[in-house]
Amino acid sequence: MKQQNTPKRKGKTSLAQKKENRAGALFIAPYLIFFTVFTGIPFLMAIAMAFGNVTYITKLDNLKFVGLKNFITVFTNEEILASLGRTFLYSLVYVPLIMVLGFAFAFILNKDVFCKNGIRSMIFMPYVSNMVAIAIVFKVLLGNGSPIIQGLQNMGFEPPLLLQSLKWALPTTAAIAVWKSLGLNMVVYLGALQDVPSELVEAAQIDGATKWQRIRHVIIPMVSPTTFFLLISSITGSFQNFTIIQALTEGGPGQATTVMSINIVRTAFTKYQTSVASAMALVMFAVVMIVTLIQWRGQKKWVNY
Amino acid sequence: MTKKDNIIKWILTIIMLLIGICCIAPFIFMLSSSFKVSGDVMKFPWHLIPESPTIKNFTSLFTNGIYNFQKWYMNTIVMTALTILIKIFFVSYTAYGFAKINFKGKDVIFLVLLSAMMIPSDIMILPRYIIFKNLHILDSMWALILPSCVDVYFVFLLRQSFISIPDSISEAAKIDGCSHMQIYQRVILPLAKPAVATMALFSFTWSWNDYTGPYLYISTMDKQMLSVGIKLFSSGLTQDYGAQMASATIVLIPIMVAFLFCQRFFIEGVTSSGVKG
Amino acid sequence: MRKNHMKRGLAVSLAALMAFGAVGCGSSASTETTGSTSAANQESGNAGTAEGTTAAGSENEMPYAGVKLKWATTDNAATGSEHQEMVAMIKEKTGIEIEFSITPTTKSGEMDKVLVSLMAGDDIDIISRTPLQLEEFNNAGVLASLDELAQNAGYDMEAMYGSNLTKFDGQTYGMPAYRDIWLTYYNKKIFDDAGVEYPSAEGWTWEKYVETAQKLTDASKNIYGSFIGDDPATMYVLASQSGVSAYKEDGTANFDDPIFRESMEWFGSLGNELKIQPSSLDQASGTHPYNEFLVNGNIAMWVQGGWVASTLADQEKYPRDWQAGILPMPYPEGQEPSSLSINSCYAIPSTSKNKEAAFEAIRVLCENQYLLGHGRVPSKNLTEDEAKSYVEEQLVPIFTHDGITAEDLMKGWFDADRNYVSEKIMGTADTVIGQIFTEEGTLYLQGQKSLDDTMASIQKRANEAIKEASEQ
Repeated sequence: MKQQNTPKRKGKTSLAQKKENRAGALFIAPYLIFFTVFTGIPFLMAIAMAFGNVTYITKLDNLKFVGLKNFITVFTNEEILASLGRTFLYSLVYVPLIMVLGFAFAFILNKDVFCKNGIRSMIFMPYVSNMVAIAIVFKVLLGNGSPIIQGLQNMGFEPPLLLQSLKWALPTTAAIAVWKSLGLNMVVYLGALQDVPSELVEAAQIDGATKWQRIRHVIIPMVSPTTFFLLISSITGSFQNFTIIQALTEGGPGQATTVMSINIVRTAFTKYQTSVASAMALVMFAVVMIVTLIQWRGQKKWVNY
Repeated sequence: MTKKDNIIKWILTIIMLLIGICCIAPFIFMLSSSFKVSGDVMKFPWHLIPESPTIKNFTSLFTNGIYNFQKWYMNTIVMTALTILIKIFFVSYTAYGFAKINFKGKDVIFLVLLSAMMIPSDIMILPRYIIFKNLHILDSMWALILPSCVDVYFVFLLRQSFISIPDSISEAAKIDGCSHMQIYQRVILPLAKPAVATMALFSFTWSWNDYTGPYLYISTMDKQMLSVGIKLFSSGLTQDYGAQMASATIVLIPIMVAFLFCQRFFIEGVTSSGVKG
Repeated sequence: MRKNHMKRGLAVSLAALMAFGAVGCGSSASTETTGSTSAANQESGNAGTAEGTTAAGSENEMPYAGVKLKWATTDNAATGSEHQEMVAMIKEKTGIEIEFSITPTTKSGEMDKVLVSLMAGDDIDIISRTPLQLEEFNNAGVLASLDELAQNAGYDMEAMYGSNLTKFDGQTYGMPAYRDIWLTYYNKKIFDDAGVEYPSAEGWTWEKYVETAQKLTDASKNIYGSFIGDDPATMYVLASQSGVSAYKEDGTANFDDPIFRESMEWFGSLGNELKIQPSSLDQASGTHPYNEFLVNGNIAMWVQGGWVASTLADQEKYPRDWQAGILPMPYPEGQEPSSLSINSCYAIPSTSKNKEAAFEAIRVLCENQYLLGHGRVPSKNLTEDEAKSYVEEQLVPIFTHDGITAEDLMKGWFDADRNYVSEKIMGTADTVIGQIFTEEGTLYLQGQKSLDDTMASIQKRANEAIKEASEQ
């Protein structure tokens, strides 16, 4: 098994490098085997489906290879394209918000407040919570006749019903998703901030750097591997938002929050167009992949290892 | 500390406290509702303290004749504990390979793995079902544990954390004649405690709250997990809000404990890594 | 086809590889055995008496005694004793032992676990579903036809259930046990306070309903005369009750028929213009939960499925200090009286290894489930007398608190002069059409889209969905 996973070596490789290659294979081979079984093969099967006309997997009698037909469907169907667009909009709200707030909260809660642990726990709470319970609360709070809405109306405002408005529903679900996942980013950042050697910060302080300069030139570069990780995982997370949207709006009002993930599940398990759903998933996968590749290429410029 | 600093600290504390309260508001609702009879949960005007408080929502979870709530609780604990245990060693071992060994093709393989994070998981439901069936792990907790252990997210998390441990430390060990295995066990793993604790906490949360996995892959009632179990209490038509909230509360408690426990590690992280510099 | 087989083959070989390779995990996994407790065993009391009868019965009368069947049911089992009693009943009458496989109810837009596992080839012997859901199962090819089984058993399903049987392409796939028939529930206290007489079942039309609701609505006291939930079924209720089909003869969508437009506009007007019920916006925000009638005591009349009746009896979960009355569902003036209804059916998956025994079990269920005393309306054809004695002996005692009479129940549920029409649209792409109605209809009801645009959009999208589905 070791040999299989060892990358092919070319002509002259130093003895030390050979040793490294062997050690590398030893360390990652077990993982790769399990990964192939539980993710690799299912994914390959899904890819195969995307090029066929599978509906129900029990009805494979007249299975055909249909080439790019399903992908053409994805790119010509208005509803699917619109849902892809909504996914981007959702990410545009979600990713910047969660990145900035996650760092800000972690930074503040690392040193500058009293009762750190208590507040940290409070902010982390939504992350561990049950979505059903949360959805009920948010629907009530943002709905017609809620104390907040009534209060605003009494003050002479015309507040929109955020979750039921065609315009606001999508950004609102994204904001609620940020609220829910913020704790994760914050905790990861906290871990990273505590790894920043205090000597470095103190040295900068002695050199006369202002607080802002210290953050900008010492702390942010020091936590950049974490930032890179969180950025990629937040982008990925913003595309996999089925649970939260299903619980809050079920894709409504109209199709205002019917993003790709909702649409894929509907296509696969309501319409039973398994192949089309696979093609949709592949398209979405390709999009995230491209974004990640760009990040990966660009990381050398700003990620400090 | 100057006076001005102190004032800023107080202001920040108050702001963060307000944000924190926003964050726990739904839990107050949840807790309050769990002591109400179902008809009162959505009653307006809303009362924080139940008008006719009851603990029946909780007792009915455990005294239900049809379901074995305790059993679900145990299953979930065992499953989650196994997942975390396997993950701590399996994932950190792999992450070490990607972070500290310079083998050929490392970046390409890692990028392929990374891309798996982006696969919309719903599309793998049917293929996975068939594979589990062939592996004969369908309807057992291994169908939940094993796939979760190859979660790329955590390999990524730990790799990033290992990378930020200065190479000078591991190089020094190498010169002392340590093998990679020894460096991994004696140097890197102890230094990466905060990251490992983070992983343990998150994977605890994920496994504990995972609904789709047990829903699809576990059929036998006695092997079922809590997340699906509590859903069984609320039938599709006559929703029982009170019982739902009570079960959500019960499910949440272990995670809270885990968080408070793991939090100590985040703080310890500062002092334990004294090798730095 | 070939491709997929190859993939499966690959998976199997990898499984073998894993068994050798991964010692720890592989071996532990294989030690996991599938053993589940039979629900019948837990119900020791009832099962005990049932066993006594089993012993007395001869082999011939119970050819399937001792057979174990797996019944995939939803979490309804959790809410009451009905399922346990059914298991005991099957055991008593046939000697068959039932084991449950319970899954949470599937919401719209979520995947149906039972269907997934049936498609992967798991063997399940009995499932319970509505006809609309059975259609999905049948499309996936996982249902066994009941006709041959009935013939072998010498059982005349037609005579017993008639039009309530669920058929696809001329074959019977679902045997109905009970049906849910919509009713009007009313709060007697609100009527008394407003000095309005209780309405009578005769000529209880939508016009009368609206008129009565207007008299009862009192915004200053936050009292609404009416509550009808947002649902595709209520958005096209006038069309269903007027007997207008959702499909034209050529199979395309019929939503450009004026009655659909009229129905949508009428339904919207209740909350938005007449303000006799919480508006769609209010309903969506959860401040007026779907069961507000039971919860807050500020709704005078509630038009909803028959299942609510059993909730009325549950004073513990829904405590209230007023009496409820029932009326049949209102119908459009100028039409014959009609009510929406939906059957609950039992079916046998094609993967079942004991189809004959399963047929015996569901036959017992369909004939007798309503006798267990849970307020069910049987789907099997009852004579007027049978119905009457059932209502008097079984149903009336459940509703003593509210003083609901046998006559009330007969008028709502067993009226020979009333048409019971399907609550859901059935036909090509029906599930998707339901989804389209939810999405588009809600936009109109919440004032974000004009009526013309909404109806045009429903028609257009429905036609696209029908076309897509027929191409498959």
